[in-house]
Amino acid sequence: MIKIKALHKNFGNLEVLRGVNISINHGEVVSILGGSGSGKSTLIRCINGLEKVTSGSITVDEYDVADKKQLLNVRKKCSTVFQQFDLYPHLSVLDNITLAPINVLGEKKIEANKVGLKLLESVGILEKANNYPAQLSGGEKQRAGICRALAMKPDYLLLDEVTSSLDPEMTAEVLGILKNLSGKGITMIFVTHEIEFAREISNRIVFLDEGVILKDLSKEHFFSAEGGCLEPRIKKFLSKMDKNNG
Amino acid sequence: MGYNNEGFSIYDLQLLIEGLGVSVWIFLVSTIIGLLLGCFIGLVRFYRIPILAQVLMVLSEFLKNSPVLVQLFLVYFGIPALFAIDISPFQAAVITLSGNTASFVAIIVISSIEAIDKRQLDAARSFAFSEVQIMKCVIFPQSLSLAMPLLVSLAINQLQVTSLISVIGVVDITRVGDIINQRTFEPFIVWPIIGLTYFILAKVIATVGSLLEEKYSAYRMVNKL
Repeated sequence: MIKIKALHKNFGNLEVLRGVNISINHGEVVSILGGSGSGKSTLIRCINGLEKVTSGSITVDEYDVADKKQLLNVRKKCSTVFQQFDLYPHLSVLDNITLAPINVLGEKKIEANKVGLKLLESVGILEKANNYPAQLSGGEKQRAGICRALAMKPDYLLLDEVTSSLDPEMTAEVLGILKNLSGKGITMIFVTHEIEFAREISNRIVFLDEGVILKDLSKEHFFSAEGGCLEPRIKKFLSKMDKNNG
Repeated sequence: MGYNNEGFSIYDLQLLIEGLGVSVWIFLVSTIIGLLLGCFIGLVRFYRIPILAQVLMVLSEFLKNSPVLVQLFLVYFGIPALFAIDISPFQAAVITLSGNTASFVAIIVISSIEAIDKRQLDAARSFAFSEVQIMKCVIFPQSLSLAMPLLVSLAINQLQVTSLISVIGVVDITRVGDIINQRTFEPFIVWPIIGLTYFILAKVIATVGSLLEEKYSAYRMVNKL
């Protein structure tokens, strides 16, 4: 369970998160929606300690993110998939996937490779195992990024706008894979603009606006007429996004 | 016209080879020490370790921005005067060249680490690597690919700089040239040969360097599909 209490995050004088409270249970698939600058990426970066919180607390299961020693345990439980993929360019796709399992979890190389190849096969890029990231298309890179995250056998998957750098075709590739993942017991937290996708796979929607949670509702409730749409800010956001998505 | 080279003897060749050995040896020793020391200074400054980072910065700025010959005199004449110990020309040469090389290596180390996208740090941190593992597995291999061409040109430059140590009496190849020249008065034979020797050494370094460069940059050179 991830528990976030009274979370504040400032960058200098800029208040990005202004008192966020949220608990996420095991197995939930949560989408965090919000406009640019609403603080949604910052929120996800606070969960695995990539950003230091200004005040408030975050715990992942029994571990406190603010505690330096416990942070490594938090990070072993949470894997992140990044918007810009951020694969290690100097390593082959397979080595990208096995680097952390070998060095952090202490897995044997032969075992880690086996798992890595199986993951690559499951996302349809087995033949790219020995290529460098620079030889992959964007969609393939992000599929490799997902494999890298899954290889750590995380309890929580943090997905930070994972399709924002991809064209619609590649977006569909990646979302298809993530859809397969949901419902397999892994807790997923999406930061996304893909409203349709959020509607399709998540069971809970959190709408963030100017650093505070505007609505935190089940999917059904959020998209119903008496749910999220009662909030004018959300109504505007949804109608804009619907227009953009055709 | 015509000149005779009766002044030359087979022993000159032996002397030349010995001098070459001294030059190469001093170059290798001071380059290795310089590399290690430079990496250390670079990392201390990159991690902004208090006090040590500032002290090393002042020191390496001094080494970078003053003539090597002046540094050499300072070490050779200064250390014995200051600490009342004897120091051989060879030791003075190694100390000076190591320190000088280190100050340049430090800059290369810092800039090539800082040139790596900060998102690589985030990615590695998010997977629970320790800071040492991040450096070793993620940042250093990428930095090395950027640093390699700079390190190779630094090495070639430092090879030429070793000729300065002849001034304090180290019998390196330049000093050997001087000795032979004094005896034979054949500067247009002696100095081209000495120059050519440095040239060949530099070419060897460049060749080794480009092989290393190729190795560490392979991932950046792959054809994009």
